[in-house]
Amino acid sequence: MTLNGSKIYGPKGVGLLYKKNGIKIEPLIMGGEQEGGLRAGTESVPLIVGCAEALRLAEASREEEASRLTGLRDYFIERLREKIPEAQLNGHAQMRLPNNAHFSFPHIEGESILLMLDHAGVEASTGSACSARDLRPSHVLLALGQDAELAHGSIRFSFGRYTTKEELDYCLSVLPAIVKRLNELSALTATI
Amino acid sequence: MNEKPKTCDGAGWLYSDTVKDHFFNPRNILLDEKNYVADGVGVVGSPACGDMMALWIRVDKENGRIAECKWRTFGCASAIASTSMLSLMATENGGMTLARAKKVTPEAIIDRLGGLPDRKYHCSVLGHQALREAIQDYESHHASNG
Amino acid sequence: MKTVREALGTTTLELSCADGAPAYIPGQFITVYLPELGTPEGKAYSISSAPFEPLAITVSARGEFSRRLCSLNPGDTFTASVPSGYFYSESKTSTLVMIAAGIGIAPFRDVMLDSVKQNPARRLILFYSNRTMADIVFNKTLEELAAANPAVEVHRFITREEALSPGVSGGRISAEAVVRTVGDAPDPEFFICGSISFVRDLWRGLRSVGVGEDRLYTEAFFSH
Repeated sequence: MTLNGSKIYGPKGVGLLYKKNGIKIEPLIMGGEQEGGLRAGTESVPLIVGCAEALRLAEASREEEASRLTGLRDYFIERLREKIPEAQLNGHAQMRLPNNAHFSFPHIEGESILLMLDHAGVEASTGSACSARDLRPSHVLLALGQDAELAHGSIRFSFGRYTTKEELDYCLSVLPAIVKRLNELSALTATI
Repeated sequence: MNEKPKTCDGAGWLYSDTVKDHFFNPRNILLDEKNYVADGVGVVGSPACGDMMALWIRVDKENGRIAECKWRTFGCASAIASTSMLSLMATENGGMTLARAKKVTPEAIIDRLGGLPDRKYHCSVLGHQALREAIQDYESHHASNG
Repeated sequence: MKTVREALGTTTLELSCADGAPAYIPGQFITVYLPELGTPEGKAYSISSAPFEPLAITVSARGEFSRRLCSLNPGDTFTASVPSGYFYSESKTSTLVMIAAGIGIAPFRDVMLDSVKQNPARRLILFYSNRTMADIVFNKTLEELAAANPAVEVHRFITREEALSPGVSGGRISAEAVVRTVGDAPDPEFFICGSISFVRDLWRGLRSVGVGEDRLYTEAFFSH
């Protein structure tokens, strides 16, 4: 298992590898014998110390933070469904990560939603094919049984330590107009 | 005439100012398609592919030029901007003749947009195909004289 | 379905169609569907066979889709659309100036074979770029066409090899060289086929040396 320092609010450029004794791994970077021969290069002590401290802090606040995020998540999901009834939540409503709200919006496309959100100051991500390098829709969504058309209109909202309810309210205030606008432009809402 | 492109052809994400303009302020959208009488309609792409365009044209019978070119697009910013730019190209300066409109290439659309990432090339191909289909639809119902 | 190995990594697939051979205009393509690969829209491949030959496409194994196609065996089947596309001239008399790189030669093979049969006097000028001599697809067919028809010219460009055969130029195709070679050939129409960047560079180049947008036709292959 690997852990990325930057995902737990530690420094970027450092990570953690959790490996069973006896498993042999080929190094990606070769040269010196550092890190037990697994990764060459002088270890960056400041980064390692930072990562360890970030881990300690994250663990200390884990339960409280998970609870806080779950509350925000459920609030967001409920409000979004009120304002945009046609939106579909991807995955189970409760059995999901505390910080994830993933929706598909019929008849409109993910990258265009993202660009309008970005223009309004909101950062999110998408499983749409148009934003993927290989132009294929998210295989995760397809595996969940979603059809390709709906997968193209999906947006992932992720929350974190610094996410506030005010920010969620702001997002909820700009998203309906964006969805409405893109529906106006869409060929899928046209009678042809 | 074109703004300096801010796109990186190939790997980049950034869109030029022209692309952003045509995405946030698209020209020639047809909102009321149910009441619009078109001379030719072209529909290309499919929802499963994440890209679909419908294009409606009106042709001035006197001079054979495209008088109106309206559209709706399901797709990403490149797709929306490409259709918008194409509709502008088809109708500016009195409108293109059908013969000239048939010759609009994806390269011409992308050039006017100030560039698009290579992986968005197909968005302009679809635009070009939609226009050709609309013209073909028109021509099949109005046999040309000579 | 029959397969023929062409130049390195390139295969021609001869197809027999369940509903009989479809009509097409040389320059058009078919869209091939391999649903198991997760691309519902399929991929387009230019027809490389002339209308009087069995229907065929020529595929260069580059990405997952094309590699799968190239590894099919005689007797295998797949679904494809009827031919479509607009990569052809509506004129019967213009000089066809064709500019291709690599597998971009595919649509020009049938355009040239068909043109020579229908109208032997029509001028055809081909500029064809490859990395090495071994990469040239349909080399023999092109040689034979040029040798048998005074109206046909084939100009080969090799970009990565040093030792070249006579009549072959080194380096890339430049718009200036094209226009200079075309000279005052009557009513030239320019058809560019190859990768996105190849087509873009030549489209821009030809525009910059004065060729009108209404004389340029393009067909770009995305890597499959």
